[in-house]
Amino acid sequence: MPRAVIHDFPTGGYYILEMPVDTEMTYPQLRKQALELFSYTRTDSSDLLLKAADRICVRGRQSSVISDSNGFILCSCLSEDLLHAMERGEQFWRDYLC
Amino acid sequence: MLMFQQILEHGEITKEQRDNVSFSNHYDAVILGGGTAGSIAAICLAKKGRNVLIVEKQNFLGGVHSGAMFHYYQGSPGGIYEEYDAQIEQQKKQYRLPEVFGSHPLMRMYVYEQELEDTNCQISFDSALAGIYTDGRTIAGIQYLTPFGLKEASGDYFIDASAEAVLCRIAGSAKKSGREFDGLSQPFSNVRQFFEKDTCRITFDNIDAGYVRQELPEEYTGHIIASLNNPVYSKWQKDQITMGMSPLLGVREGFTIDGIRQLCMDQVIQDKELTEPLFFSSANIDNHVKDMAFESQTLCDWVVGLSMWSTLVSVPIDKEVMIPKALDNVIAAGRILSLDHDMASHTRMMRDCQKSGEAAATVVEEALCLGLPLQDVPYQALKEKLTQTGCLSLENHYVLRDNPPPGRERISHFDLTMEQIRKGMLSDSPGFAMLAAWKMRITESLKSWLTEDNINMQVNSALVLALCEDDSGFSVLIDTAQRRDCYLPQTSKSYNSLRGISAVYALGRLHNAKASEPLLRMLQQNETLINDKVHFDKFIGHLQDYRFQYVSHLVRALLTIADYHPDLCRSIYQGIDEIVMAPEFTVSSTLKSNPDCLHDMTGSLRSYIQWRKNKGERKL
Repeated sequence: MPRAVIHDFPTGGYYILEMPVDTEMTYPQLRKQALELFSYTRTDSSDLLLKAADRICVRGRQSSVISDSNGFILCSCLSEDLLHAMERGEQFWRDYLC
Repeated sequence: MLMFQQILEHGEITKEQRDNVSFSNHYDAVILGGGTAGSIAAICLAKKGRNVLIVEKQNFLGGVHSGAMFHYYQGSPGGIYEEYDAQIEQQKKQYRLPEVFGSHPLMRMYVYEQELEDTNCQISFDSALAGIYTDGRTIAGIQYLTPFGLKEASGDYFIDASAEAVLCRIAGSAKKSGREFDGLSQPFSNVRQFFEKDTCRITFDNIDAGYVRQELPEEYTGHIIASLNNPVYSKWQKDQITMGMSPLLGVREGFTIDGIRQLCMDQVIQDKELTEPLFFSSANIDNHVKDMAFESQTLCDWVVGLSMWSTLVSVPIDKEVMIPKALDNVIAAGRILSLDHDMASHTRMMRDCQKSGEAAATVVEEALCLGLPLQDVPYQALKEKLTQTGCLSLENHYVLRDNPPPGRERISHFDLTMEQIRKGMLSDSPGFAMLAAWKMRITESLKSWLTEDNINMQVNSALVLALCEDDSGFSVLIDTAQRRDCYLPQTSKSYNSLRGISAVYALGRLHNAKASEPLLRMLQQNETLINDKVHFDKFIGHLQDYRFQYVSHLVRALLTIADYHPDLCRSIYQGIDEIVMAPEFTVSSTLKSNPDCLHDMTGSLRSYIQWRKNKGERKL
């Protein structure tokens, strides 16, 4: 069963749903998972969920799904690679959108 | 069976004969594009037990409705889509999702996917059409690129809901929509999604950000990135938290199918009724441009002559507008129907796109039952089914509906008597009375009203007479143009045309030789326009917009006069060239809802002049 953890970044927190490395899910399955987990892991009523699972990133055997901008992130495993990617993304969001 | 493989590469279609083609998968219906229209079409067919394939470029269903604009803007009510809208609202509560201005985008994706979960519908996300197999007037199958490689599938019927008519383009049954002058389509919007602290909800805004050819991936992506740097975004409000830019641009127009019949704005204005509508589309005729002088005469009559910009129009959409004339088993849905450029600015709202998806699926379902080419499906059964769901309802065919500015009472009927026309012409909102007078050709009454001691009556009568090509009001129009009458009628919610500009346009419509000198003098004085007191509104959001409106309409009017008077051609061309072709001459204009961002229009104006000259010479 996936579990949800919250990671804080300078411009806000993001949910990351951790799942086993070998999880293979279709987009509809990912969206369903995101909705269900969000509904019972949400810690603050002001937390927002607009989109989920925008793109799948594949790094070696580790596959992950990250949101491009809107705060809900699903990933198969929380690797250093993924964290760095998110940090780079965070910089992009701060520069252009925030 | 003699079969051809057709591929679209760099805008060119290649066609090669193929023998012994076999497909590993066969579908009752193949739907290109699971967007606003295609997703509804897929659900309709899949729920009837049909075997369906959706080929979708994005990784979600619902298109712009899920990916950019969550809220409806115009379009007519009724149809199967309302059932899913209700489900989205219901399920949003169950998942404790935040309030959204419109429908929650993730929930829309989810609801559509749930509807298709236990059906025979295959969705191929992140996929694009690569080629087709044709057999005479039918498409036998498609080749499509997926994240798992190139695939092929055959189908009995195909629905092109791709927003770019990609299937019909490859089949050679589509054409680029756009205006006659330069082929330019309507401007696109980019969409920002944000959280609004005051209302505690997620919402969006959109501004016009330029022009894009959606079919060119690099250009499309480049515009998304470039639009992020638009100066308007440096003015974000403090009470808004930006969540991101939409991954989809708000593209209003691209390709349209080459249908059995093309729906043109001329027919709509003349109330030419169709006997077999599948649904009625509903919106104002708004192509978002400010260079209206470069648009068709029909559109200019409507927007510049009558100030009818915001008036809602209901338009019957029939099968012939949805079916390519050269193909027996393809039907279109969404904003690619067989429309002229003017109507492409109308029949594109999300509700109407959803209805076209339902209508297309209903035609395909009947064709599957009867084994007929799509154009031969009898109307009666379609009518019954679409009426049952509310997709087709005569209540939606109101013909014209007033869309007034705030504070003005809505005008409820337009079948006007002479006395009502007279009263309307005297009012601040004369458009409907002028339209009635124009249609009824009451030129004798209009001529008599020219002599009344009321400026509204005089100018409005002169404008309508000009649309009837009667120059009895010529001197009134010259006077109105020369004093740059800044009166703004209140017929439309916004985008009314300043009366001075309407008069300039009307003088072009009359193409009376005597107007050439005063109009050329006005053009020579174009720099003084920036000293006028201007009432800003959505259409004229900047002083340069105002100057551009006058200059472009003066040029248009003069070139029209030249068209009709070969003896004046030389002096008019020379007069225009001395001003507009001078190295120091520039004009600029803004785009809608983006008044801080000026675009240089000098090149467009010069190209327009050259185009009109060439056209005039061909006519001679």
